[in-house]
Amino acid sequence: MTRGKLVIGAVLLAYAVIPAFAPENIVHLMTITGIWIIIASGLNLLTGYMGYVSFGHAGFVGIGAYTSALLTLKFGVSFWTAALAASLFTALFGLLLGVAILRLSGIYFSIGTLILGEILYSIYYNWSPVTGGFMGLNVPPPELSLPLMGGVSFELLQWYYFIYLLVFLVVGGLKLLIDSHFGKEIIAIRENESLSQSLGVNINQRKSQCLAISCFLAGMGGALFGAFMGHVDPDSFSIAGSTEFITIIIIGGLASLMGPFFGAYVLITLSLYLEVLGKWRMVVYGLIIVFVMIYARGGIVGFLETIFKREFRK
Amino acid sequence: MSLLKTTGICKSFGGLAAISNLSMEVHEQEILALIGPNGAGKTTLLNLITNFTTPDSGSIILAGQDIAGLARHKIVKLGIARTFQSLTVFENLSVSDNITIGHSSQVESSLLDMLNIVAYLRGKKEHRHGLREKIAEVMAFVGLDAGLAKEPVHVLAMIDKKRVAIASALASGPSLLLLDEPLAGLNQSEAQELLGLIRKAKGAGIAVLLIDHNLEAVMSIAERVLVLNFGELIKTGTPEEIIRSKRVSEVYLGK
Amino acid sequence: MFTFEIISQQVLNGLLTGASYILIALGLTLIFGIYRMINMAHGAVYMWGAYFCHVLADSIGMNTYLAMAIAMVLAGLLSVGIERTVFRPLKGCPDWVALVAGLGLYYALENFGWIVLGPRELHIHALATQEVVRFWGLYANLQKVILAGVCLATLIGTMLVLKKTDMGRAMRAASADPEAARLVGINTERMSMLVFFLGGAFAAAAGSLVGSLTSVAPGMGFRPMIIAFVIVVFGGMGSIMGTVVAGLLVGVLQNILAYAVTPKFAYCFTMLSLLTIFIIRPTGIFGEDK
Repeated sequence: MTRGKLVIGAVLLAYAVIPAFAPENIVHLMTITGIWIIIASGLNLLTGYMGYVSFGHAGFVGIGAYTSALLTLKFGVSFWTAALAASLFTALFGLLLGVAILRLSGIYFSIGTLILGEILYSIYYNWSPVTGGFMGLNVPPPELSLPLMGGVSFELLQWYYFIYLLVFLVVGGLKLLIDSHFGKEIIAIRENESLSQSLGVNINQRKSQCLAISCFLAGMGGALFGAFMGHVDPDSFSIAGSTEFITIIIIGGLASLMGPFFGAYVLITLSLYLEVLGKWRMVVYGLIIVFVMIYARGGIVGFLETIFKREFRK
Repeated sequence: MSLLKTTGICKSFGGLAAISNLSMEVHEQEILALIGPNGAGKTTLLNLITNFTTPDSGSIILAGQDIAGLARHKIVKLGIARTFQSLTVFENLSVSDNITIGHSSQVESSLLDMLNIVAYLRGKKEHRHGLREKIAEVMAFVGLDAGLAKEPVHVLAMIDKKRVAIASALASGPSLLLLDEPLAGLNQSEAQELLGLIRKAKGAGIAVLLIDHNLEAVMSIAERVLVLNFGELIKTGTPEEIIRSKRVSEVYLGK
Repeated sequence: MFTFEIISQQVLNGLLTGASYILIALGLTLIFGIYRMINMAHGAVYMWGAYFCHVLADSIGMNTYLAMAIAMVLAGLLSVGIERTVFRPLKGCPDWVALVAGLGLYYALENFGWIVLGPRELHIHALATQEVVRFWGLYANLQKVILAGVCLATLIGTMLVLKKTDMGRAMRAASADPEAARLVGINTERMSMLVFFLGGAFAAAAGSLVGSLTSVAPGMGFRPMIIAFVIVVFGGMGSIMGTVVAGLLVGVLQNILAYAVTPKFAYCFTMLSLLTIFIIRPTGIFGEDK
């Protein structure tokens, strides 16, 4: 076990010192990736661990993004409160929605979330008075007043550390969750819902809780994304975005805590390299998805499993 | 002492009566066999008790409460566990994980508890230790080698898979265990082992309601027998009474 | 605002719109019924079918309907190609795998379309788009009526093939029980190719006709495909009757909503209504209860 802790320590150290060496654009990309990891981790809980494949996750991210943006813009709420409120609101939305949509299973759930994503996108795009339509909303940068230091302006560096602090908190929390009874029950639901029920698992409660947590993280990611980019607009929250998150967790490896890390970094790197291809970028991206689905469904973690001959995924 | 009592249960599927006016009783700690030709309604009765389907009319009383239509996980909490006709376990999960799920209803874990990290870690250590003990206990009880705990269930032999299914059911601490065709697919000696396990369960204070087509085996272990035909209870009695009964012979034993 | 005349007009428009959806959805329903997979790339075939038709009709100058027929064949071949390369290796996998793969393929194909078609607006020249027919006091664009006619002909043709021909009977058997069908000696592989071919052809027909009414653009297939999916699921996956009824309902619903509420939100509200019904009855109107 100490070896595992050494590795974690090394990783944390690496993250801490990267900004000292890396050029600014890399730090910028890593920060965005960090937000992606938070969102993907939430989706992984719902889709990888519980087996409910959601194709509308970007819609939830959008709820968090727009809610936070609106709270800061229209009501002058501080970013910190707004982000928390937005995350909770998205979780609540998921909870309420779950009553209806969790009755669907398998492919029907996936299609249902796909439709939901479309509905939300349509609202973001068309409800101009509130969401700013296709132009979107500009989000003011967060202000931070520390007790002794006074006002701190939130630049890239602050964002980087803040996001990764959240990333590790989220992943740590998810690890506790997965290792607990909750985690085992969630996985049981994925394996066989009916059997789980007959063994005493309250599946309706667990499914709602899982969806709520997943939405909470999506909302958080959305709020962070909006404030970091300084702008929210509908195109970030379309089916393309939902597909991207699904791709991240598949490429990374479903039902593994490290999966979202690998997947997010791979995707960002891919985007970078594919820039070179210009218009061909999206074509190659699409073909990669097809390739992964046919030949590499276990993702990177699945691949690592065959190398290390150990189980990393649940 | 009456543990479970059904009164006037009726269930039809699309106009066809699967169960007609069935009134029966399970006594504490008894081994009760349910026999009858295919389609007599035996599995349907189990499904009605565990709310895999709801009765059209009638009541199912457990500990003074009508559990007809009650949420499945709540029925487990009240002390009824079951296995299925076609062996149903979590094939991809380990033996200990299977048993852990069976133990779910006994674990107090609200979401708030889980997120309360300090208390959680403290509780988790105790809980995990307690859980490991519980798993070992159940595995020993059903006759599973302790070394199999981490093995995925799909690599196990049929008899061991059946043990896992029963172990998971037992982990929920039931007072009534419903077994649907547990002996199917087992050879003579394996069947005897499973029958021994059923006797052990009774000895541990659990009532067992068992359906099976292996009549010789069933009659050798049952204390009481219920005979179903076309959804109706046609005879109740001891195995000797049932074997002697002309009516049952006509309907079922074909003698 | 809501006179009988206006409502009838909207209903008629809706039925005509529904016809185009049915044409796309028909392919999906056949594919799902026999192949048991969801083909998310279908919308791309729809778009490419329209493009083939454009190239043949406008660039080469062929007769529009001949161009459409050839485009249907080409699109059918494209669809078969997709089946062989993408979907066949995925047989037996959980449903969502095919869903994701299909989406990925859709992206690749749509964006390839951006490269080939570019940002220009392409059109398919057809005389009938300019004419309006009038009957029973209602107006209808002739091309739309032709579209509905093609849809009807396709439906009747499909029904006849399924009911009367050996191949059709085999298809129905395979749809009911793929394993048994294979045991009985039905060539399910050839059947799959046929079904994909037909699906692609029908989509191309829909794409060409719709493209002649509006325009041909790389992204034109996405929304119709989503709507077609909803129709297929809503009507009961694998049920042709359900697809027809659902398709007409959705078409009418969308038009009435566009008229009664702002057109901007028509799509949104249509989807919302369908989602609600979907949640209440996931297996659709004619689907089998689990």
